[in-house]
Amino acid sequence: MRILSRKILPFLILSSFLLTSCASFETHVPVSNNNDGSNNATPATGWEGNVTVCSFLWGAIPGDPAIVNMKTECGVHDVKITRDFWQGLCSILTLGAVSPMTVQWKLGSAPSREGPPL
Amino acid sequence: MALSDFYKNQVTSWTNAHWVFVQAIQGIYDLHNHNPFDASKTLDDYLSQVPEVQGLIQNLMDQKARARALGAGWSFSKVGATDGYLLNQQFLKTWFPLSPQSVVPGVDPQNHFLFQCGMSVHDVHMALASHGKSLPVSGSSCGQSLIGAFTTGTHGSAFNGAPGTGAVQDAVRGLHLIVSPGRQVWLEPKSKPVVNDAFLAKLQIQKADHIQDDDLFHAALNGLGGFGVIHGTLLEATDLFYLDVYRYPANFDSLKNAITSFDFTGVDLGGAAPSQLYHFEVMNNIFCSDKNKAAVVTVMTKTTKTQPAITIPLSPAGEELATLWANITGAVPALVPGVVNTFFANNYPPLNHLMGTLADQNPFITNVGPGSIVCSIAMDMKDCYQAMAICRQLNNANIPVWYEFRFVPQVSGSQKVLAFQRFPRTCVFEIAGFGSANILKYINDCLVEMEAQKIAMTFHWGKYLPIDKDQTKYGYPQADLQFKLTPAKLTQIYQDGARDNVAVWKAQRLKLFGGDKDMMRFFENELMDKLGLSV
Repeated sequence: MRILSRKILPFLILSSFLLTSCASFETHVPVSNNNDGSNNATPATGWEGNVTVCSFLWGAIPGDPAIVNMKTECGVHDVKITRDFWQGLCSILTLGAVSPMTVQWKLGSAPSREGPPL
Repeated sequence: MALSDFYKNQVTSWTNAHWVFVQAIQGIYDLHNHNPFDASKTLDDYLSQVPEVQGLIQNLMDQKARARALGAGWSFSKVGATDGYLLNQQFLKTWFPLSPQSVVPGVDPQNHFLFQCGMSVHDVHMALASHGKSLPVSGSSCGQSLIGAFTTGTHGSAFNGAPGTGAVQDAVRGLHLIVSPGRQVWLEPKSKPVVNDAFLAKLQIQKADHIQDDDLFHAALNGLGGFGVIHGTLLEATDLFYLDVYRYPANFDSLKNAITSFDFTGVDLGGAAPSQLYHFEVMNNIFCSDKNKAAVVTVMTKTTKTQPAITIPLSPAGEELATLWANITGAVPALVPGVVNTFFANNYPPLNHLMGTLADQNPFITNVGPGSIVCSIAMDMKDCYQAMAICRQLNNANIPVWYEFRFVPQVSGSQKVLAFQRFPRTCVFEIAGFGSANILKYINDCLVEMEAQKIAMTFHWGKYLPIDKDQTKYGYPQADLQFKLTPAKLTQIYQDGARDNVAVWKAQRLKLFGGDKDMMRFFENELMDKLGLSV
């Protein structure tokens, strides 16, 4: 039993690593604009960005997406990070030294402004 | 023409706020005002968007694409979706009071406000409150765009609400429409005009493009995005008011006379007389083990009191939680009663006379219940108890849904065109639940039986529409729906005697665009195609 475990263990570890790395995932990072962690701004419709971001050296050098449609009055409402199969494969082939992911975001809504009486 | 403040998102799919479907699109354009921090340039911003949107329309027409204006994406149906481009207006949020110089004699300018297209219902609540005013009525949430809300017929209740009735559209007095790359119009009802030539001059609208037409105006109110880009909306507000909300559990069967005929004998209205009701609502949880607590009754009356104030929750359900519940309960139906009872206990506790404005009482700015599904069926209130009996009988396998009854005054006479609030006393009967294929099948079974029992019904345009099985991402357990909203059925349910309201709607649209079918097609979408509303 012990011998069997020794033989299988590296295989299990490698398989787990491969499966974990290849698996597509999606995670949401709601952005707060209130002290209690909530966000009471209306989110813009539709995810924007679709930017591929790489982190390097096992996360020691994080990727930094530039939000190109940022209007300062809007703020970011929600961020979505996804990794597809090919991005996962890239992570495996580089043993995690390069980890690409896709980042998308939703802006918050603009404040309303009252104009002069018409 | 500058397109610098349009941002084209490189996305090829779009999902609505409740995540009911995923729509393949060609792209989304975000529209931004040029001077968002300069209060002195609000009118410049409002006006400068018109030629820019017109330029964008021309650009997209040259590509043979379709497009439609996009609000907050709150509709459960695909009414706001397109296979072309979405013009995201949510950042366009300027608004203006009216001066006495802009209105015709007899109109009180202090009650009239022009809102740019990106204003949400919540923005409108806040804007009006700053002037001591209020919408006469709104839905139970306020994250929708104002335009998306009224063009789909979103309603409140407001038996005695003035000046409108129960639907948000009833407070609309004029529409600033961009109908082509070269034309913008001001549309208002001939029977109730508000603005004069001075107002049109301020908006740089030609006198020839001042359309006063009752049928066209009322068709455009429920225009489903097909009447061009609504750039501005003129609303008639009321003085700011407070509502006293009283909510309690009750025996559903004890409410039969109240929900079918407004006979409130023996019904606890929290001390109010029936004539004082602003809002009356019943929810029915058939999984509640205590029959005397299965229904939740909500009564709202106007009040001069402001305390004790209602607590305003900031955030409703978590994302996709509803779908997760649906999947869990679908796999283990025995869990359904516990899940639905917990949902009711957490979300609808008793309220003992708590005060708040319309915005306070309908607070949700973020989308309520992503992953949920709601089918809102408008019917004569006399039929709603029978509809409930059908639904109760068919729910013999712990389908995780609950039922809601709201009551809306009729949109009267020729004003109703495609307004679904068309019965003398309309009950909006909702089947609401956690989105899944089995629930859609259950809803469809209920509709089949209601039709078999001759219950006349129409559907809320912004809720789930039983057009085909592609209307949601949840799938469907059979090859096709049994009850289908087809062009023929749509015509049938909106027929008023000899008046074919679908034909009226289409004729008014043709009139607005001057017979330009290319322009009409530009603003059409798949939903209009499937319902026979396209040219």
